[in-house]
Amino acid sequence: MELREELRRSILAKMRRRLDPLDGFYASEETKEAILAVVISGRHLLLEGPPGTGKTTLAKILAGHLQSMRVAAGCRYNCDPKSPQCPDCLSRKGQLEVITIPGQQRFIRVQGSPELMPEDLLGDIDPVVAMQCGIHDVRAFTPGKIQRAHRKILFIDELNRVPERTQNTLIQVLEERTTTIAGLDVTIRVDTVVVATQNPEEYTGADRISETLGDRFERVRIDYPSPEQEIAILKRYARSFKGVRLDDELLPEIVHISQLTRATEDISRPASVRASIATFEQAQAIAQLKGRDAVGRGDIGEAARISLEGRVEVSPNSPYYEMQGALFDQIIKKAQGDS
Amino acid sequence: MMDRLIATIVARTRHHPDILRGASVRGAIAFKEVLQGFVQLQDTVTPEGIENAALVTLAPRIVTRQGDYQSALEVIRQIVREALYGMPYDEAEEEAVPGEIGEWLSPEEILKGLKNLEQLSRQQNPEMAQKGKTVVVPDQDKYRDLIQQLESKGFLQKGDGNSYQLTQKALQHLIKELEQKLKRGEISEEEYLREKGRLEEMMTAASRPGTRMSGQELSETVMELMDVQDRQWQKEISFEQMYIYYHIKSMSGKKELSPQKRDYYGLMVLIGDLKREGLIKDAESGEGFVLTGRALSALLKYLVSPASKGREVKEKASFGMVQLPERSLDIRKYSMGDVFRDISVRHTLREVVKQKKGLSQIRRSDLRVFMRRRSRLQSDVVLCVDTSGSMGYRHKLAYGRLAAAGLARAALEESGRVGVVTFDNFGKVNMPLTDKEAPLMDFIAGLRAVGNTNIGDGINCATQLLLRRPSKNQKHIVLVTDGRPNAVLENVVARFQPLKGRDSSEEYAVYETKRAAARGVSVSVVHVTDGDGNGDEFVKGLIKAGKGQLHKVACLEDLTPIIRARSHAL
Repeated sequence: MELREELRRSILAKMRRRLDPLDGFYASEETKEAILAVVISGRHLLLEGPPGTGKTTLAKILAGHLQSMRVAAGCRYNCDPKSPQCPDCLSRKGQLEVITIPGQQRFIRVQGSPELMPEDLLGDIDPVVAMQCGIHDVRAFTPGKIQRAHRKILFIDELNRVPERTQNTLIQVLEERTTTIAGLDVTIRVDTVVVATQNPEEYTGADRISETLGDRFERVRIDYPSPEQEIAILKRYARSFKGVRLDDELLPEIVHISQLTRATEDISRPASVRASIATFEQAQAIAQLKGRDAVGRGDIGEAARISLEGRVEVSPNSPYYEMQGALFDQIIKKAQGDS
Repeated sequence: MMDRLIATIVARTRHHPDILRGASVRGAIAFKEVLQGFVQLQDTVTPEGIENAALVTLAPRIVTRQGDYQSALEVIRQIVREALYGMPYDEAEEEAVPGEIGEWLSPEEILKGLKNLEQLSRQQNPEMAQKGKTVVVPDQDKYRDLIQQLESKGFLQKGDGNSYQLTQKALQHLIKELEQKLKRGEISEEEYLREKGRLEEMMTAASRPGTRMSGQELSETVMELMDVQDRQWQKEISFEQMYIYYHIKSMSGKKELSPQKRDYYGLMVLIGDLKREGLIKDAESGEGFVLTGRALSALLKYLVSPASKGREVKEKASFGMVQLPERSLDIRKYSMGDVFRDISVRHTLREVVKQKKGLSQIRRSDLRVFMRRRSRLQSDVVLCVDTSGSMGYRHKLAYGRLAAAGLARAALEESGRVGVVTFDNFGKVNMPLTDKEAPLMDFIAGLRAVGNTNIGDGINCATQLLLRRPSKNQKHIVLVTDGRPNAVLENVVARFQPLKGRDSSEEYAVYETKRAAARGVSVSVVHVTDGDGNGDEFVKGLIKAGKGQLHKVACLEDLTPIIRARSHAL
């Protein structure tokens, strides 16, 4: 069964049982629905949103929908033992050992960066093996991330930072679901669904992906979560330390600080959800250091200050550009005054 | 049925006036598949499903006039609704949002709507309305659809919070309607005048740019200021000159001027705004004002921004400056003298595999070598700008200024140094080599045109400036001129003895260029031309002698590649 068909059935089965297929990912209902529709239709997904909005989490949740799969042991191309396709497995046909890979591991992650080369994705000849077995040996070719993503979800983080030359290697996979290994004249089928992320164009330092590539993705925007969603995220993902208590009444305060940074024009790069999580955890640590067993409001202010300082960028047009501290203090004070 | 609907929607994206590039066929296929996804999620086709599928698949694929994602969403939403409610579609009809949204408003309805809103705002918030600024819209469902529609037609503009502002277009509509009422005799003349006065006040308020002047308006205004500056061969511009200039411009009727530029007091406000923005400043002599480097920078920024009509300029002017390889991972064939550690085993093996050879058959030509990252050479650029009288016509000096400013910025960004030499009757060093942007820009903004054209002396001056102190930097002269020289110094003629029957000033310019080239200075030319071919031959001769490059500028658009010539050029 094709990977996308598998995903589709698994998601629809969940829906029929009235379960949320994207449990653990917090966004508006419309966004969730759009994401599900794209995945069900078997198309590749491009998530666009500021950092720290759960894009990676979402990709992992999607991978969680996959069943465990049987793979020929030792095959670097994840061949299905029933219908092997790589030259290596074909030569050993009939005597393939089979191992099982759990669904959670059917996930290949590529971190996009300007240094990512086409060879990283498409594979290349390994000089050492080539010297030992000869360069025309199949073993001398090391598959790249794309071949290894056969029957797995291929997650590419920050696609827009990848150089265009490398972006272009994806085009064949996205459209034809195959790759050709140069020099060996072997066409390898790559059955995968690509989930990529990019930061919105407004972000400084972000390049755009090429038009041809963009045309092969469905783009869904993910925005910062609402306060309620963010509180839910804190409850689910932030660590709670032993021996110190953080009352649920204080959660809105933590979230409110982050939300305020997103609403003001003084700030060009607002606090992400990660900032809220950092505040949450650091507040506990601070309380513990001071020898208390419950987090107070002062601890939250102190923790927020630390987590904002490193993350938040004040806009150069703002009168507070020279004195970030004052702006943070003001925001924290306002957030604590409101709630 | 579904396919037809999809085809209609996709086809409309290709013909919509607000869309520069419509959705691809792949987009249509994606639309269909994702729509099927929505159908499976909801077990039924709903108009919302169709709309959402279109928003996900089509909106990122189109390019709108405004160029941002938000406007793409709006346009797609509008197209889908039109297609949905405009064609017979049973399920959609049942669930269609009742009433106004799907239909177009007639002009009368628009007027009525505007009128209502305007009166409403006066009742609700008399003091805001007095200022003629804002229409405050109450939170009533009754008006919401209407407001949305008016906004989409450009009659309303969303202000802060819950308020909307009438746009100029809307106000003009209202004035027109008043006039008709007067003609029909529905209102007295007195009433008419009173109402009209009030509306006109609102209009000036609505057109007040403040900091909100669009890039295009701003760049136009800066160009106009330069025009005035060049017309009178003076650096300082006075308010009266500006007013007369705009008056003549509006009388010639070629272009519609904004009400602010037509109005005496409006212009004063405008000038005040420009001063506050730092685009112009009071002249040192105390009379009038002068343009600042900041104005030039703003104009440059506009010219390279994607908003300037989506002009995509692929080529980049490079002016003969050596391009250095940027990526060290590029490889090339082996050639004698390459060091062993530069050989890439990986790439060599790949080459051998490609040729299906054995390892024993490797030849020298199969070896692949990394290109080494060479240390970047700095460059010294002297801008040699023609400030003769002829540059003062037809925006030529304005183009010259922009080209010079763009090149200066590009060079500075590459941590080079820039100097400025101007020449009219003779050349003069105005700015020794520097790496400070602000004084350079201010000086370039204040250039003025008067006198003859002595190109030879300009180049002589520039060469001396470059060679004044020994340095290893690459040296370039960029000559910004409108064509043929017409002057040469007397003592030069005596020393240099031009050939008979040849123009001595031209001959001298070429001679100086050759001398510069021989001393390792390249000479490139930005030719600001009328497009009549005058001086073309001469300029070609110059760059041949100077081993440089030629770039012609006949209109504002031609400047873009020069200004864009950033990192790659120098």
